[in-house]
Amino acid sequence: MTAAVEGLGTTHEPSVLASSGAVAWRGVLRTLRFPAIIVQSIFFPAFFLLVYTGLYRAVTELPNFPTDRAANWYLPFMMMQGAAFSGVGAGFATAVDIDNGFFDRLLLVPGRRISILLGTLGFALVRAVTVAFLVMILGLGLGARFTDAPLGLPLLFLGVAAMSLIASCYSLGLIYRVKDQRVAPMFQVGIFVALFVSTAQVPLDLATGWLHDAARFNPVTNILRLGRQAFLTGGVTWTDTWGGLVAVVATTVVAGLWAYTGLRKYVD
Amino acid sequence: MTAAAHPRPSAVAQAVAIAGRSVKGVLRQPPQWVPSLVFPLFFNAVSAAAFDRTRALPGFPEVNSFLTFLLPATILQGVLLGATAAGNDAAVDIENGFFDRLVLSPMSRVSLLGGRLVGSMALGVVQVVFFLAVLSVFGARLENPVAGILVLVVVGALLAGAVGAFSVSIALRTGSVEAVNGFFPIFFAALFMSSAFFPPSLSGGWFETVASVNPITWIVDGLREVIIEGWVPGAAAKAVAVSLALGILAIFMATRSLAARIRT
Amino acid sequence: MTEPILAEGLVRKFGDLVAVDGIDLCVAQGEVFGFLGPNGAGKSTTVRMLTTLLSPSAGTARVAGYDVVTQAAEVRRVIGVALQDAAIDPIMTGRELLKLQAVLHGIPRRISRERGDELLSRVGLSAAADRRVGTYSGGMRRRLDLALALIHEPRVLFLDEPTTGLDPTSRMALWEEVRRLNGEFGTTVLLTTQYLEEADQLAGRIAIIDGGRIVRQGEPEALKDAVGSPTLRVDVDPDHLTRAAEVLQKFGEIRPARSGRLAIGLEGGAARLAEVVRALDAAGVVLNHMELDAPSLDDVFAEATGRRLEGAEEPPAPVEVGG
Ligand SMILES: Nc1ncnc2c1ncn2[C@@H]1O[C@H](COP(=O)(O)OP(=O)(O)OP(=O)(O)O)[C@@H](O)[C@H]1O
Ligand SMILES: [Mg+2]
Repeated sequence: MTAAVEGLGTTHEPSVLASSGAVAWRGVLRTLRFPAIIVQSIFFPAFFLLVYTGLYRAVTELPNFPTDRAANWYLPFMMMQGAAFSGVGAGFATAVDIDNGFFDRLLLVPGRRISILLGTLGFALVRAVTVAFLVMILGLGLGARFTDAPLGLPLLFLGVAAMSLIASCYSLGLIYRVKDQRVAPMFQVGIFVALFVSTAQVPLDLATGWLHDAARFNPVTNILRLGRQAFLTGGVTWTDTWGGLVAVVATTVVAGLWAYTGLRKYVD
Repeated sequence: MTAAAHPRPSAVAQAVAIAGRSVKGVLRQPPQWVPSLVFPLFFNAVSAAAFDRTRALPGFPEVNSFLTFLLPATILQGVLLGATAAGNDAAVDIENGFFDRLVLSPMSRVSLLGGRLVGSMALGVVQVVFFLAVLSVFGARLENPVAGILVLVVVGALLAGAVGAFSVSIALRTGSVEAVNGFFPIFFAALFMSSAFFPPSLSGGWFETVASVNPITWIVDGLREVIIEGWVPGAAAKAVAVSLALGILAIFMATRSLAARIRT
Repeated sequence: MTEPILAEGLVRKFGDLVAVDGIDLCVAQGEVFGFLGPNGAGKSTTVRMLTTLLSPSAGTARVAGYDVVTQAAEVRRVIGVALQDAAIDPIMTGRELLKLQAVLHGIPRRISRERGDELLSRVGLSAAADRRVGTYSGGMRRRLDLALALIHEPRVLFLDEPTTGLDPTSRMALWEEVRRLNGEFGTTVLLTTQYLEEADQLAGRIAIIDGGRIVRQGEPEALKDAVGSPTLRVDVDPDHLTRAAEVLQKFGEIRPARSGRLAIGLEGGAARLAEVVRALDAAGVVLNHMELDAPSLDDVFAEATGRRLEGAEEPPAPVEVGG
C-alpha cells in the first residue's frame, strides 16, 4: 500500500504519443473483436474493382486513354475509395462512443485532447492502408500491371493515406460538432460525392459537360493523378506529381483543422 | 348466412388500409426515401457525363445521350433502394410487436402481404415518374413517349413489388432490420452485373457471360429497346414478363415466409 | 494550499434553459462534499463543468488550483471522475478498460497491473475482469467505473450519483470505499446524490441544489438545527383534513407534506404532543397515524424549496383555513 500513498497526487506525465497509441490500440482491439468491420470495408472496393474492370473494359479503347488495361485505371481509385470509406469508419466509431458515453471518458484524458484525434486517425490510417493493400493484391490478380513501381508505389500509398485522413477528419469534424448519430449517413454522402465528381471513372479529357468542369477543381482529381502514375503509360512525371502533392498537403491540413477545431468546440 | 354484428371487412379494404399505412410510414421517414430519389440521379448524372464519349465506340447502340442509355439503370436503382424500405418497415413492425397485433386482428392473410406490396408498387410508380420528369429536362429521350412511359411505369411497379416482396420475405424469415439491409448489397451487385450501365457486348470476357444470364439484363434490354426504338411489342413483353415472373416468385417466397412466421 | 474546488458564479445555459444559475462553491482539502438535489437540478451539469467536460457560460472555477477553462489539461491530470451514466465501452473487458485508463494516465505498466488487480478485487470484480463489460449488470458497471476513476490515485474525486441503481449491500460497500479513500489518503471527494441518507452519512458538508441554484449550504447537522422545531406528521381521515389543519396550525407553522397528510413544525417539541392529541380529539378529528421526527435533511430541503425530495413529488396539499 506504500506505493499507493506515494503515488497519491503525483501528476503522471503521459506523452501525446503514448495516449494516442492507447486510443489507437483500442481501435485495433475492437476490430479484432468485430472482424465484420474490416470485411465490410474490403467488400465494396473489391466488388467495384471486379465490376468496373469487367464492365468498363472497352473504355480503354477510347482515343488517348492513358492505359490499355481497365484494371490499371480503376485499381488506384478503388484503393483510395476503400481508404476513404475505412476513414469514415472512424466517424462511425466515434458516433457510437458519443452515444454510449464512452467519449466522455476519452475527453477526460489528462493532458492535451489532441491525442484522442491523433489516436483515432492513426488507427483509421492503419486500417485504410491494410484495406488498400488487399485491394491492390486483388487488382494485380485482375490484371493490373505496374508501369513505374519504385517511384509510383510510394506516391500511390501517399494518396491512399491522404484519402483516409481527409475522410476521417471530415467525418470526425462533423460528428464532434453535431454529436448525434443521425448525422452519420452524411459522412458517406459527402465522401461519395467528393470521390465521384472527379476523374474516378474516366480521365479528365474524356469527361463531358459539368463533370469536366467540376472534376478539374476537385482536389481528389489531383490526388488520383498522383496515385495513378504507378500504373499508367509514361510512369511518374513531375507534371503529374506536383499538383497531387499540393492537393495532398492542402486538403489534409484543411480537413485536419476542421476536425481539430471541432474537437476543441466539443465541450462548448 | 347471417350477418355478424361486425361484418368482416373486405380484403380489399384491409389491403388499402395497410398500403396507406406502409406508404405513410415510409413518407414519414425521409431518410427512407430521399436517398432512393437522389442517389440514382446523382450516380447516373456522374456516369452519364463520364462515359458519354463511349457512345462513339463501335457497337454502342445509337442513342442521343448516355443519360437515355442509363434510364433503365436509374429506374432500377431507385426501385431497389425504395422497395427495400418496405422490408425494412416490416422488420421494424416485427421487432416492435406491431406485426403480432395485425395477425391477431380479423385480417385476411392476403391483405397482410398485399397491402405492403401495393404500397411498394405505388412508391415505385412515383419514382419512375419522378426520374422521367427530371431526366427528360436534362436530355433523356423516349422515342415513343406514350409507349415508353407506359412500359417503364408497369415494369417499375412490378419490380418494386418484386423487390418489396423479397425484402418483406427476408423480414418475415429473420425478423431483423439488419438482415434486410444486409441483403441490399446483393440486389445492388445483381444490378451492376447486368447490362444496366454499359453494353456487355463491348465489355466482353466473363462479364458478358455473367450479364447474359442475369434476368436484370433481360429486363433492361427490353426497356432500352422500347426507350430507343419506340413501341416494340416483343421488347416490351420481354421486360414485363421477366418482371412479372420475378414478382410472382418473390410473392410465392413471401407467402411461404408469412405462413412460417404465423405458425411459430 | 489552495482549495481543491473553488467556483464563483458558475453558470451554464443550454439555449434558453439555464441549467446552472450562478453557483459558488468552496470545498476544502480532505473534505467529502455532498451535492444534493432532485432530478434536473443541475448536479451533473456542475460536475461536467468542474471536470472540464463542459465549458461554463459564465463564472470561473478552479480545481486543485487550476482554472477549468484555461488549464483544463492540468485539471484532468489530478482528478478522478465517475460519471452518472457509467461511460463504458461494452465490447471491451473490465481489465482492458483499466489498462487503457492507466496508459492514458501515463502510469508505468508494472505499477498499473498491480494497482489494477488490487482495485478490481476491492470493487469485487476480480472474477468478472476478463468478461466483456456489455455482460455486466448495472451495479457491476458502476463499480468498474469507480475503479477506473481511481487507477491514477486522483487528488480530487468526482462521483456523480455513484450509488444510483445499486442494491443496499453495494451501496454500503461504496460508502465504505469513499470513507476509506478520504480517511487513508485524504482524497477530496465531491459526490452528487438524490439520497438524503447518503448525503447525511457520507458528506462533511453539503450543498442543496434546486433549479440550478444552491439553496442551502453547510454541515448537515447545522442545516438541520437551523430548521428548528421537529416535524409532526399526522395522517387523518380524508374528510377531516381541513379541520385538522385548523387545529394544527395553532401549534406551529405548516410544512410541506405528502398529499393526504399534514405536517407542522411543532413548537416546543415533544412536550406538547399530548396537547395536540387532545385538541384534535376535541375537534372530532379521527387520527390514523402520527409521528414526530427530529429535523432531517428532507426538512431542510422542504424549508428551502417548498417541496419534499423523498416520497411523493407533489406540492403540499392545499389547506383551506376557516369556512
Ligand atoms: N446537453 C444538454 N443539452 C440540453 N439540456 C441539457 C443538457 N444537459 C443537461 N441539460 C438540462 O439541464 C438541466 C440540468 O440537468 P442535469 O443533468 O445537470 O441535472 P441533474 O441534477 O444531474 O439531474 P439528475 O438527478 O436527473 O441526474 C436539465 O433540465 C437538463 O434537461
Ligand atoms: Mg445528473
